[in-house]
Amino acid sequence: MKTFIKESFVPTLIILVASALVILAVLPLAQTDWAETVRSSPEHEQEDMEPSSAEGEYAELPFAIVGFVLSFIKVTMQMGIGGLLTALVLWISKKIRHVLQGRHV
Amino acid sequence: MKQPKKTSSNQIKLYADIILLTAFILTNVPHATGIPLHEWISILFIIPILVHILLDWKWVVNVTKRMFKRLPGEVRFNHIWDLLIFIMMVFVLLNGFLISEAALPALGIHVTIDPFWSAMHNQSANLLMVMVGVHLAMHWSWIVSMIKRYVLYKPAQITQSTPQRGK
Repeated sequence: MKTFIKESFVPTLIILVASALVILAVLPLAQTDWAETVRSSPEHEQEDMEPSSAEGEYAELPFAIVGFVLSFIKVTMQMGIGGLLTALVLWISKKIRHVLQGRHV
Repeated sequence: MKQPKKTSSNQIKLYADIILLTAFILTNVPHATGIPLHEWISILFIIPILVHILLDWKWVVNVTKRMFKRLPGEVRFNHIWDLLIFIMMVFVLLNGFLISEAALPALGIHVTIDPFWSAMHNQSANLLMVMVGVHLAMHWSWIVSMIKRYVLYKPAQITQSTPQRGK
């Protein structure tokens, strides 16, 4: 553990510097015309779907439970889409490789 | 002859990754956790992410050095994809801080909620989940073999020579 902490000091600094560079590169985006377009777009009001802390919890328990469950389903589906597409691409590339290796033999 | 049970680096990585994935899922369900808990978990999430990168730091350095030399396509893709995930994660955390309603105000830092950063936070968080799904799929065989080795099949407590399973 002590060795891990000692060996991690420089890599941690590198990661923090890299993060700072990303932040510096991204912050000016708020000053662009595109940002103004997003701010003035009526869609951004609908995108703010997270419950505000001022609004508090859901009024009715069944809806709260449904919302609770749907949150996890949403996460699973979004990660699942990426995962399944990747698995499909890997499977296709493996098949192509097998076919090509079969032709060479 | 009894030998002390030694925790392998793969075992440490597996347990760290399980904590990381759990924390990642919890940060992405603000409807379930509520905004205050969502923000605090997201701040704490920085630690498992940092540990995840540090545990594989040697791989990162080695692959970066060989980036413009001969390298398997899958390794090259994983490196670039991991870099993109890192950038996206920093982006999501940044605009999360910029629209903080609970955590930063509790620390005495009050921010003006910019609708631009709010929109960016939602969209980039959704994109990040898909990107993490790709990342998990690329490392799926490692995940499955480690779970089989260290979770499903408990290694023998008393061993002279540990049978090798999987990788």
